[in-house]
Amino acid sequence: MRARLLLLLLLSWAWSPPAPSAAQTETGVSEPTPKVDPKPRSTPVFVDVTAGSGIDFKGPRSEEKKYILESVSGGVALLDYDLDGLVDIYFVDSLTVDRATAKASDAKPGARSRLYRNQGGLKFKEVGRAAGVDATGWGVGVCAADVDGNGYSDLYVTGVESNKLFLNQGDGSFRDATGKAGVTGGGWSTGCGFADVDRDGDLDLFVARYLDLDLHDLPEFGRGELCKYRDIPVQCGPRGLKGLGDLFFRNRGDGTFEEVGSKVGLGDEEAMFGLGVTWLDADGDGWQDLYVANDTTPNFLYLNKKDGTFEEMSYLLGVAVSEDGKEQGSMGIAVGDYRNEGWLSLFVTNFSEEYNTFYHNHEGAFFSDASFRTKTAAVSVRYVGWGTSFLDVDNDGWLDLFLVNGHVYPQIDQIQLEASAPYRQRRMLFHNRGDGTFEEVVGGPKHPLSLETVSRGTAVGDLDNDGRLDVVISDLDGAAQVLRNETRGAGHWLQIDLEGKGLNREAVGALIKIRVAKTTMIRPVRSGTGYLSQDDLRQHFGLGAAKRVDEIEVLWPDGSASKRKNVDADQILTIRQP
Amino acid sequence: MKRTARSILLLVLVGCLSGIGPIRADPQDSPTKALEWQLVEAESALDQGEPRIAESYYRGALRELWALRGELAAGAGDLETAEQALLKARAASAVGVDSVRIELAEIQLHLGKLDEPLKELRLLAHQRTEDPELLESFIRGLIQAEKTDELSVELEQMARLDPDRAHALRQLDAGGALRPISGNLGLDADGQPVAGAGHGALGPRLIATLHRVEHNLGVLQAWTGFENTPVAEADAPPPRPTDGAEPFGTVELRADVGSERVALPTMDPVGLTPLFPDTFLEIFVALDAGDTATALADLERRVDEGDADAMTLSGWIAASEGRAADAERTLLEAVASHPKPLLARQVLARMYWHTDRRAAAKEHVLQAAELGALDRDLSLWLADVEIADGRIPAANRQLRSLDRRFESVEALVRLADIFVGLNNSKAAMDYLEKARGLAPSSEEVLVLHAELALDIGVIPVAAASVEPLARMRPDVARYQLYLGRVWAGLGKMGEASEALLRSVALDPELKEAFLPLGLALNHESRFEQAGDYLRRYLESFPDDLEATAGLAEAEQRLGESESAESRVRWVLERDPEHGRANLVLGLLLLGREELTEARTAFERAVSADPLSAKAHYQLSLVCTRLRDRACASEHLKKYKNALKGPESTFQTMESKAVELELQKQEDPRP
Repeated sequence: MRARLLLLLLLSWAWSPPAPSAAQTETGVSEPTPKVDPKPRSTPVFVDVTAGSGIDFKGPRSEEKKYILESVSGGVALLDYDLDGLVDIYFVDSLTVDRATAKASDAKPGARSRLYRNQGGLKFKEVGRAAGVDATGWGVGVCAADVDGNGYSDLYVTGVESNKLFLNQGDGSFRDATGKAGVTGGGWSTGCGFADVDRDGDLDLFVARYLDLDLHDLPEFGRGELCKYRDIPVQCGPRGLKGLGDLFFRNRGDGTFEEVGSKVGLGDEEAMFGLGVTWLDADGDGWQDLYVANDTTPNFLYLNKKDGTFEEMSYLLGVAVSEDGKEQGSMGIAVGDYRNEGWLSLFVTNFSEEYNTFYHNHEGAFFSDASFRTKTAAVSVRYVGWGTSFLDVDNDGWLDLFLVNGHVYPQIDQIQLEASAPYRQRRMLFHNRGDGTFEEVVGGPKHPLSLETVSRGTAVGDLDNDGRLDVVISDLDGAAQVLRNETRGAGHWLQIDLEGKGLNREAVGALIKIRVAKTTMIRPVRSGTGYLSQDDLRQHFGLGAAKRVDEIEVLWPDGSASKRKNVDADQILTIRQP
Repeated sequence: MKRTARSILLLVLVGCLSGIGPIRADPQDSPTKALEWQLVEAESALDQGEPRIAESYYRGALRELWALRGELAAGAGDLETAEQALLKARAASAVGVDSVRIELAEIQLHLGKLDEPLKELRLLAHQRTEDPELLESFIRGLIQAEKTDELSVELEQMARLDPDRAHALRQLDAGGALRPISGNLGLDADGQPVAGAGHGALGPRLIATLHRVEHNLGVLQAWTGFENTPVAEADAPPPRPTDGAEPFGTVELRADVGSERVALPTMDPVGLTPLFPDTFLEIFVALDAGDTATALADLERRVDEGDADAMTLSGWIAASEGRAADAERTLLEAVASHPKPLLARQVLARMYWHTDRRAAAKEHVLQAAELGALDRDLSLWLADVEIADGRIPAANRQLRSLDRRFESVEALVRLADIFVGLNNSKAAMDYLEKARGLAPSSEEVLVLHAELALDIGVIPVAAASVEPLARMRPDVARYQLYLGRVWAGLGKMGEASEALLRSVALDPELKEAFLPLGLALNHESRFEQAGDYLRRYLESFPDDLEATAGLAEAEQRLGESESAESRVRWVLERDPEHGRANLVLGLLLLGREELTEARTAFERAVSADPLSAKAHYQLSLVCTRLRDRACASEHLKKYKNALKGPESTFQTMESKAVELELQKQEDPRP
């Protein structure tokens, strides 16, 4: 008996991601078979490699952040825009109110978004102006996808006054197709994401919007009770200010779009304060659903009714508010199957004095607030969370969780609150213990995770193609940072780059399932991730000790599926849609 | 003004406007719930498409907010802030409200501004010719501005309306302006401490110029130098002599003169003869002149001549100097020879009282009472004796009489205490409200008021006393506890937990704070901390249901399901309808997919607390999963309504206030 047990233990060690068990726990969440060693066998390590990398992006800085407009921007995208196999970085630039409202004669510099071409060896060269993607006006967020089907990633950049669609021409340059495509939008736009919601082969576009503000008539700093935080004058909003409905652009398939948000049920008639956006198949029916993180108001989960329209179901499915029924100040969204059960759960970053909410997906039927049970919430109460992504940082087969923080009020440093960390705040990496809980990885005082910044957007991707996922962070008050993943002893891995058919050449909306022994892992291909940002569209799987994937199944955006068996680990694999 | 104070004020205002009023008769009626309902109703004007009514409501709210702010600032002596607040209050009114205009003018007079407030008061006084209060304000302004011609006309008018008031104002005119110190003390134009009467935002009003208190009766000298002395210190009696003698004489001199608000107008021009006969006055005058030797020689001569008043004074001086035997002998002689030895018996009684000869003291007090009105402190003492002897009705009569005669804060406090003992919280609160009106800066009164209001759950009322306490004495743990309880009662849990954390930081052993702190931290999702405090509370109070249910809530959120369930089952055995325990149980059952049982628990939670947003929300979720669409829809709707409780209404109020302020800027009103 003891020998059998030992054999079982050895087997489970050889392949660390365990198979889920159907057993139900008291929390109603099925309990995966415990790992032999729930602690990571390798400590995840990030190293700040920004210096010398050529990345020198620094957003505009207003010391006092007198206006909410100056606190929200910060999109960053990872995309291989030139198809050289190396992931490039795009930072959205923003403005300050002073700069935006300056008279022409004052000649204050405008916003200039940056595209950094990856030259290999984690060296980058700024090519934004040459590529034609720098002139974005007061930019806010970004999402990427190949919209016109030429095989190259295009960029959609949201802005305070209008948005931009930059079509990648495949020669290293982009052209501004906003007007022609009819996706200018207007009004303070924030998160965005492409998806083929009606399975007609082309990508449609959702754009969240935040506040209805006039740049020349902004609510006065510190004026009135709504512009104060714990006694001190601060920027006004979003509470007390007027929100904006969201936009949904249906792709006509001819390079133009029509805005049909209200018609299809995505118009946000109550004008909530929309920020983060993500498409995902929440109920497992193969159709793209939409989740929107709204600031200080209930979040939305729109279920795809498969007829081109949507039904907002967030309350009844348990993802609108916290378990207490509280509306939270939601910012960013991470999507992932953190228990390897085949269902995509949601992690939402929120304002301080709330907690980051972890909505566990119960087989597509409903979600439950698992924030504290997963042990990701308690530490978050004092922080204002923004960009976030699930990523398997040590390739052990379990999705870990990364997020960045930073307050919106510099004035908070005038007071010391138990309930809130100061203006500059550290990052957080939660290591998945494989038992449904996470453990925060705490770095030393000089560790990049300990660095206190005012971060906003983040994007995850393998910048050096070494099989370990790196992180790029956009900082509101300082320089952007590139964190290289140098985790020693990380497991084996596989990255999959999908090539779709027709106009959706990057297979946005596809779901990749891999099976290794009895474990199945899934990754969705999503345009628009985290907080106003874009993770690399290539999908990464940590494989632990496994050197081979038994089966890969791709559920393509059009509903078709394809499979591949016995794939070697430690490679970047391109799979073309049959 | 700090946000804390403003927010509390606004919430208090919301409470008052929404019909809660200063006191609710039924202490069982949760103020928070009542507040929510009332606020939702108040908001209905907006919902029902009555923007004009709503605007009127919010304008009134804004005006009252600033007026309250002004009143409190004035009470705290911050006249500049008071003026600014009242200017805003006036501007918020489509039509100027007289009370605000009068108060503003009075404040401005105190700030030394003359023309504008006089103009305003003149206008109002000529509109409301039968209002003596208003006329008095105007006359005080005229005195300050030295407009003698106009003053004489207005004093004539006052003499017709209220002769006593006219008399007092003539005194004021003679004595110059009075600068408030605290309570009933003020400084005259020469900077000398003087006694006045009346309390309130503007300090005392001069009724009689006190005999200069720094004469050479030893301990009386302690009454000099009050300028800028904090309230608490100024109200304290002077230091006691080191030789062990009781300085009751000195205390009484000040107290008797200073607080005789009712009695003084009936006195002679100096205002002292009922208590201090001519003999005394002459002695005092000599002392005032610095001629102590003459004064004492004169006194001795009068004693030798058998002057009973002189004996009384001589005995009093002996008592104040600690010569108890001399004092007793002289005073007993005075009692024997005086035709109406009211004062001698009182001094004797006080002496016996302070030397613990209770029976003798009581005998003289009762006999003095037959001769005339007792002075305030003896009346109080007698009331205390009656209370100690269990004769509550007698004590009640004594204290009511004191209240009528002196508007004695001490009497009001004792009355409140009596009625608390009789479980009549409303009456008790009435007395404390009155005491607070008389002594708005009295820490003792504020504390009692706050404690009672918190105990009976009238949170907006409590806020009015807790806020100044916490502001004046931020280093007192208990006041932070009160503040936390107020914030919690008003649904502001973030502020509540901050205040409560301050309270336990100031006093880590303040066990009473652990329960509200734990619950507030639960509300703020700080479950680990909440659990720590609730466990500590349960160490001292292991049978507390609320703490047990609160701890179970924290444990449930942290995934400690077994312990949580054990605790809620324990609570529910004792109180099957306990709201929080049923809610936690529902969540635990929901986690186990026991949907029907979870639904029952949530239904009980909703029944226990029909305004619990969380309970309705969870019930809607479980109904969804049970495919009971009607139930899900009903409770989702109720959840959303519950969410619009005080918090959202408060925010709406804030929002409207901002809008109105913006409008005012664009369209300034006269």
